[in-house]
Amino acid sequence: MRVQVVAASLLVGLLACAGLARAGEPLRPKGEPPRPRFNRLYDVEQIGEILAGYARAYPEWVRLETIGKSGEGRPLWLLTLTSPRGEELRKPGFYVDANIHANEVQGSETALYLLDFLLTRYGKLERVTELLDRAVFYFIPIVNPDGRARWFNQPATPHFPHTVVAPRDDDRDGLTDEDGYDDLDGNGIITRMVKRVPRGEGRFLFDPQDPRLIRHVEGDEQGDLRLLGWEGVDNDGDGRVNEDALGYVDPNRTWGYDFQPRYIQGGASDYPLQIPETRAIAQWLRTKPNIAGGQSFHNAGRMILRGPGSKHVPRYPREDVAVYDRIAQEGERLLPGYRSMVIWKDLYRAHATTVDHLYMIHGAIAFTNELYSAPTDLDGDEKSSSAERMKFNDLLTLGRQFVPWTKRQHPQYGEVLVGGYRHDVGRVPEGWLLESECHRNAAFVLYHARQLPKLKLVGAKVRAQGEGLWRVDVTLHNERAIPSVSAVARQNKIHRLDLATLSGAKVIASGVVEDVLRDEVRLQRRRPERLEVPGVPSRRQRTLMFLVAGAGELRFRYDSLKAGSIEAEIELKEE
Amino acid sequence: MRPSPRALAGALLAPLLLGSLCAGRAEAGETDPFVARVTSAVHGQLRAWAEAHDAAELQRYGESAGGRPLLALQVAGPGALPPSQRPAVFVAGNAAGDRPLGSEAALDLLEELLREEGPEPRRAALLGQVTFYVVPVVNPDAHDALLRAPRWDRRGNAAELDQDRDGLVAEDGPDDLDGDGRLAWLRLEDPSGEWLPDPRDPRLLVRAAAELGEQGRYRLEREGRDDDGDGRFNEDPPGGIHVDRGFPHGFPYPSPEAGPWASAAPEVKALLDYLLARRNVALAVVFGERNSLLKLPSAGKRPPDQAAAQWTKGDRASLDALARRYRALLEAREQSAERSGSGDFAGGSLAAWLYFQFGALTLELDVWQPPLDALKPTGKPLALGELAKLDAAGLLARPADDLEGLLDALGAPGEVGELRASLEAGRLTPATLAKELRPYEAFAKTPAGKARAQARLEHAYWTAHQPAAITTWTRVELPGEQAEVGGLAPWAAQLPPRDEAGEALAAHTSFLLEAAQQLPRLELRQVRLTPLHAGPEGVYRLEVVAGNGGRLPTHTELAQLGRVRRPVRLELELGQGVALVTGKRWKAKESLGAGQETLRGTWLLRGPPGARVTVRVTSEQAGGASKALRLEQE
Repeated sequence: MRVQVVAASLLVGLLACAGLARAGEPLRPKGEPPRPRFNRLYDVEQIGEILAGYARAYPEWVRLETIGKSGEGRPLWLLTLTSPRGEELRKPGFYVDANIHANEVQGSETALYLLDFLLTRYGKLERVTELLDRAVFYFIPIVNPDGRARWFNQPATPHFPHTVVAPRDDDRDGLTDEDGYDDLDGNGIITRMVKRVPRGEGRFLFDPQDPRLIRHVEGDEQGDLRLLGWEGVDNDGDGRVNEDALGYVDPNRTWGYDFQPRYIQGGASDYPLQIPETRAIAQWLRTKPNIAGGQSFHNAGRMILRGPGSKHVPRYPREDVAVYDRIAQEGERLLPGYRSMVIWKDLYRAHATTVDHLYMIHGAIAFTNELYSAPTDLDGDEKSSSAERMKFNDLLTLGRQFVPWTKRQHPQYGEVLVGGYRHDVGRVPEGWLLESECHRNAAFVLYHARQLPKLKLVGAKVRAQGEGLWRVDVTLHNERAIPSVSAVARQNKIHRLDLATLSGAKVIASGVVEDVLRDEVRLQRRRPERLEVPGVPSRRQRTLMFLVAGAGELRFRYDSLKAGSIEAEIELKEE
Repeated sequence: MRPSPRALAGALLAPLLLGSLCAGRAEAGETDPFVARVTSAVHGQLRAWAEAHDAAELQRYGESAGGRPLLALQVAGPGALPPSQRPAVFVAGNAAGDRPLGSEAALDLLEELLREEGPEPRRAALLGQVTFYVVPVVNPDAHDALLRAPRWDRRGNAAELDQDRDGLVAEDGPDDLDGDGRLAWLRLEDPSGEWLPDPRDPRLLVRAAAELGEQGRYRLEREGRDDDGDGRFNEDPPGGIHVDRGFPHGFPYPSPEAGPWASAAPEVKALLDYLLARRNVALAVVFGERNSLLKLPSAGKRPPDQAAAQWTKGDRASLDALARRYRALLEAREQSAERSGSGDFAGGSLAAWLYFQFGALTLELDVWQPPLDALKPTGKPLALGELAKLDAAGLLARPADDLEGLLDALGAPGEVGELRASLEAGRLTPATLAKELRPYEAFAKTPAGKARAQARLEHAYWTAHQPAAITTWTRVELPGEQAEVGGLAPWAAQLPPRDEAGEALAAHTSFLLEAAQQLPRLELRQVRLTPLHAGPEGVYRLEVVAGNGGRLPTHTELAQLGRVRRPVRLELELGQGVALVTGKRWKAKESLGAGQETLRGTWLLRGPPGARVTVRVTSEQAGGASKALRLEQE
């Protein structure tokens, strides 16, 4: 037997183009590459500049493009990172997005960190080099740029804005977004409003221990505070405050799988992928059948989430769940305090989300990480009390986080007190905590991406059958955890299977060997020269059988949407 | 009454008018009496109407996957409210893709709405109060597939789609093997096949019934070859997304023909956007594949945390009166009012979205089915028990039709002449005959037996009214197969005889005109201003009663559940110097039923004499009314 691997495009050894560093050598940037610090956040324009900087500095490796426009016309950036060697669609793809929710901002910095890490460690760290040589990374660092711009540049809370900003008549009075928050104290952020009322009229009071803290009355206490929610006035004179603020549609309830109307899923659009942001991504995803893994960064709560988002949809097939579990369990070790969870079972119901879309429609193993929980449990009882949060503010941030209560005149409520935590507190790390959060999550993505299918041709066993007939058994091995065809893709026929073709002789029959030891072969009824293969499973081998008539050299080709292709020449000659 | 073949005249004229478009292109089956027009002809007609009538406005809302324009015609006459604020009827033609008769029904309605000759005061009044949005061809790519050679009932748009997920696109579609310009059926001799000729009508293929000792002789496929040699026939035909499965409600996942997600097809997204911008649509009529007025959709409670899959009882009650009128109008024109299939909307269909998510009262109507009931024998056939008791002479003394009727009713084999000869010769007795017929009697009562009887009636109908719909089985050359092409055209119900089609279209147009009169219509029933205290800043009590003057509620229960329409809102606009003494200046109610149900508001106002106050009741899909007042002290 002689098997010569002609071109496993995963590890192509083509001649390097002029000016390119040799494979495996550290990248040499052109000019000055961006060197963002990861102890701070960046607004939309700054992120755009950083991305453009990477594209300028590493033109052979980084491609920056716009795949659509947001509702307000901002570009939706896609950055593709891959080695210039080998065809992009013949490498397994890994998808990373962030900041689909306007206020969940630091995923974008995490994506940038990962991008920077890959570019600057290639050729220095073997695991990075191996990955970039065989895989392609797609980054959409800001899914919701209009929302991010609002959260950075306009009065915001930790939770608002959250949605896309497309106007909507939340209260169905015929006007859109006519009564949102108002920055009464003009400090550029939205905090809380409370009002002092006669003793006994309220159910709350300022804590005598720390008069900045508000708590519910206990025992015999009489309350003298009424909580009035976020800063705002009744803008439209309908007797209600802040009832129709900016936006409505939660972009992460607009994806293509398991879309539900608003009475089932709050925040849903009128139909799936109605908004330009997710629609542009969904259309683009259809052009990247190589994507086999994905991560969509959110905040907060320290979770590694996977679908399904609803108990009313089919469970994920067991074979894929094993892959999910393997990756998520490792993630729990890499990310202290993070818990691996199934969305509907362990968190809440969420229909038409990114992870379900990536998995159910594209067959890609995808997670959502909820980044960060404030480390304010100072006494180690696994709870953060309001007193501990205030101590964290006072001692660790030297008072940066909390805006003291001040008196303001409110047009409807009279004199109120305005104050509370800033909008970047609670869900977003302080600068000095951000980099470590970025790194650990990037490391998790690198572990996840390492599991992208990696096929090796183990060998071909050629046996003469007499009268010019040969039996050729070709064995492939997937060295990593993600199968070359996920079980969900097989089960639901969401894309074609892998294809094994043999040319150079007449193929009389072919099949997939189901049990090598007992020689049980599932034969394909027609078109034997084009064998449909249900993938090479997680960390296992797959043997294919061909019965051919002829002589000389055969050309074998294995072509997987998600695991690249392998070509080999096989000589019809017994060992 | 109008001449029923009116629509047909239009159909004949259209190709003449658009001769240049169709010149040199032979339409499929010129001899068959098909009444539907291709998309370009339909759109030409819409443009002509838009140019000729002030009330008609052409709206281009998108483009199909195959590059055909998606067009709607808005029809609204002069009236108190602008068209976008009037209650509206939305009509969709041929949503299913292979139902071009539905497009003709939409055109027939338009023609009637825009008809100029003859005084029609009721229609003018209707056009002043109601807006019609009519999309005659929802899926033009598929629509044209049935109207051009080779004619076939494709339902997908013109996008590329790998139906069988083998990595090849459209590699095995149907083929016109006999070159007659249409795709019928292919039967392949095969001892393991399930099909055999019906004992009574050998042109008809039926599934072999084991209980009758039958053995299949054929495999049955749609006319075509196994183009890609994979052992399957026509498994990956040209054609992309089936538009009427690509809408969001009950979207069928996984299904290649429905697309990767709901709204992926351009026809679907464009129509969703078109409708979401027209929330004044109260009634929607889809001319499609089912009939939800002859078979009312199922109603029931929604599972607690899932989207509604059935109609609410209240909404279905709204269908009852419409269904009665519909049936009466069909019967008046001798149209079949029998349907065998379900009236529930299919998952992912346009109709399902219109009702379950858009909240419009939605009807899906299939326009026409052959009136098979008329063909059913009226008398009772001879009972087998009675037959067994007869002697040969007694049986032979009866009219030959009795025996024929019995065999027909049971679907049993045998030729009456031969049977009579056997009886006469003593080779057969009535008792043995009855015994032999017993299994057929039992089988006739099973679902399979009933389906067979139905298919037989269908063949009889087409034989009598339009024999061209049935192709005689004819041998074709297929390597390695004994193959014949023939059978009843799968889309025969879309090719009704001309007079039948004319009657069906007229019945539907009459029905839609009646249904449009039922739309909800808000009105101010009482506006009473009472001065309570005189002075330069007097105090007044304002009492307002608003109601719904239509026959249907302002909102379906689904619209209320889904909060997809604004509530009925009663509100005051306060002029210079007028203030409310207390409370809010508006009241809202999620729905107003027709008749006695009201929305009332009472306000205390303060303001100078002569100041203005306007009372307004508004809604999205039930119109609105307003009244201006001045504060006056008596």
